[in-house]
Amino acid sequence: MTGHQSIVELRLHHHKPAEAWVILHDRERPTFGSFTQPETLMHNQSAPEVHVMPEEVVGTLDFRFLRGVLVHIVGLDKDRCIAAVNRVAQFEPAKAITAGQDWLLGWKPGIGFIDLLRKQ
Amino acid sequence: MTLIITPDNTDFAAYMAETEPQVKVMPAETWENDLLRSINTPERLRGARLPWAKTHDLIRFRPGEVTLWQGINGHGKSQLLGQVALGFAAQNQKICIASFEMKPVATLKRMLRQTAMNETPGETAVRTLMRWATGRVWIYDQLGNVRTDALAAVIRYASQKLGADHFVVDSLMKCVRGTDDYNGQKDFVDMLCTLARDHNLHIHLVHHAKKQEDESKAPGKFSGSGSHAITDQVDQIMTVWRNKPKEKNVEKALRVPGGSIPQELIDAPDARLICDKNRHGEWEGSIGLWFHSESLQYTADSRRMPLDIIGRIA
Repeated sequence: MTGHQSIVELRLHHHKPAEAWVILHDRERPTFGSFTQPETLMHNQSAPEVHVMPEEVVGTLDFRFLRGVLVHIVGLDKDRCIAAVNRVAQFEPAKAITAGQDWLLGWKPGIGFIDLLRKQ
Repeated sequence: MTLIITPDNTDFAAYMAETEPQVKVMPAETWENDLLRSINTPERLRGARLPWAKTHDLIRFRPGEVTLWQGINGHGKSQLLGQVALGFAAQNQKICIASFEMKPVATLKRMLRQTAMNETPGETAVRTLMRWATGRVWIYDQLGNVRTDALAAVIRYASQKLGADHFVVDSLMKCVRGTDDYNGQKDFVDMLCTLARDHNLHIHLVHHAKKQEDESKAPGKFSGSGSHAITDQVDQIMTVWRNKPKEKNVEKALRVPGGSIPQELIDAPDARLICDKNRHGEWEGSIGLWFHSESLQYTADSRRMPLDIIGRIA
């Protein structure tokens, strides 16, 4: 996982991003350029991105830095995205949304999962 | 997406401390999908390969890991690692070499012989190597001791700005003063492991083995000088061992008037590359290598045919 350290740093200084993106890579590890390095994205006024690598087990990741934050989770594997929402939900996010090719699911504290495609 | 930062009224540090156990203890079913995947798909080796085909199914060098290259002084570990690094670059991996014991020109001169495949490469070979190395090979120009924080900054720069996939640190003794500074060594290797993981590159750390009375035996996993924490923390350990007994026997055979080198001596490897630790793979063992002295290359068999690393012939 990369991109989370800058959010932890921010939070330890009593600030938080309103929202953050969690991007699940399922096949290949991404490569980043100077302007796309996840840990420096906030320096460029972009929303923070946290990239999860293919070999990482999402159910074991430490997402505490997302407490109280609106979290967008994207990836190609629906099961892995839902597992990520479940894991993020353990750390009290403001809200979590996962979207993929054929799904759009929301998660809210006290309510749980909402199938946003069916609702519409 | 524009960044919006709001004040955080919660005590995040206290929350982190309170929830530490919740993060570390997980139900076994967390790993269900991974366990299913592991039985349904055969484990595929991934990562950069060594130059010799016979090792491709045995060991690889993946991002996020650290390999310790150890050996007795003069047994050719830096020379062999130089060839390995060129092999990585030939696989379109970007490499950065920090050799604190050799000037950049000396490092490049050795690479030149290895890529030109002969003892006296000419101007064309220099130009060919330089064109090929552009965008693939970088050298950290620093001789002698280096501060660990300065080296960490260089590794971060090599990864973030240059996109380096491999970083060679030659050697540990130039980074941590005092062979008995065990805590310093432990902290240094811990720092390298963190940098490799956070920046997703492979770090190769050269380390001298303890001086031995008898160089005829290859040093083992615990032969590196200094702290045991070094070998505990790294992902892979490769030992380079030069077959000195063979060299002595060849010398002895040639000293006899009209003497020739017996076939079994010719067939015996000039060096061994021993894998003493392979955390993410099953193979641990050794392979024989034969030295082609003109090109300073280690070759896979006793024919000693140097490899065309940069595709000069093609």
